[in-house]
Amino acid sequence: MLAVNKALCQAQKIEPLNTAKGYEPASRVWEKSAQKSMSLQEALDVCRDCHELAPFTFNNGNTFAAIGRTLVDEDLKAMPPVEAQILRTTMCHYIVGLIGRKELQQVLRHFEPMLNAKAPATRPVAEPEEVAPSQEQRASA
Amino acid sequence: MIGNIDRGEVRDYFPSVPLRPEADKFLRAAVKAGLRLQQHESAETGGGTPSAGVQTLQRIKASLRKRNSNRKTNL
Repeated sequence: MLAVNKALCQAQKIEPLNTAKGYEPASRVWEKSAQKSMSLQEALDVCRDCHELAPFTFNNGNTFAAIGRTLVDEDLKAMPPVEAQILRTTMCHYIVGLIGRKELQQVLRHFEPMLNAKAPATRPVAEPEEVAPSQEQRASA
Repeated sequence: MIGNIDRGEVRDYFPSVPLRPEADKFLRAAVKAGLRLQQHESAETGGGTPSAGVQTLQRIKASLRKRNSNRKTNL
């Protein structure tokens, strides 16, 4: 998450700073979550929780939304573009708090037949991507 | 049956969540997605308007500049 935020801040030519209040708790949540296998809903919840804690000064929303949507990117490639975009947007909106769990589940439920049709029956459940912080990026201020 | 999905059930929808060995690939994809979101945001706000955070920073900078300028004038 640090690397993503850093890249986004660099693109805007602003310094990638962390917040004094939010960084530590978000970092703890992230590191704890990165060690275990979890469902998509849980992974999205981690992104949402971290976004709420606002660990960065800039680009909190884009950082966690980008991580969340990348988690399902490969699967969405198999879907029709409009439906894939609806799912991507819904997940991003869930992460940044624009919609709640109920709305997310409504959309997932709506696309359930399509998603189930695309998912091979014998495929093993994959472990979520580990994107735990690998470097110290604390702001000196 | 809206709102009746278990937390673990959603995993079945997306069985091929990226794996650990593809961390670099994932990172690149996430950065790319983030940059795309930024561009989209920038296009929505007319391109020239900075985000709320950047606007706050600019206000603070302007305020500091003004204060420093006033100090010099008083000396």
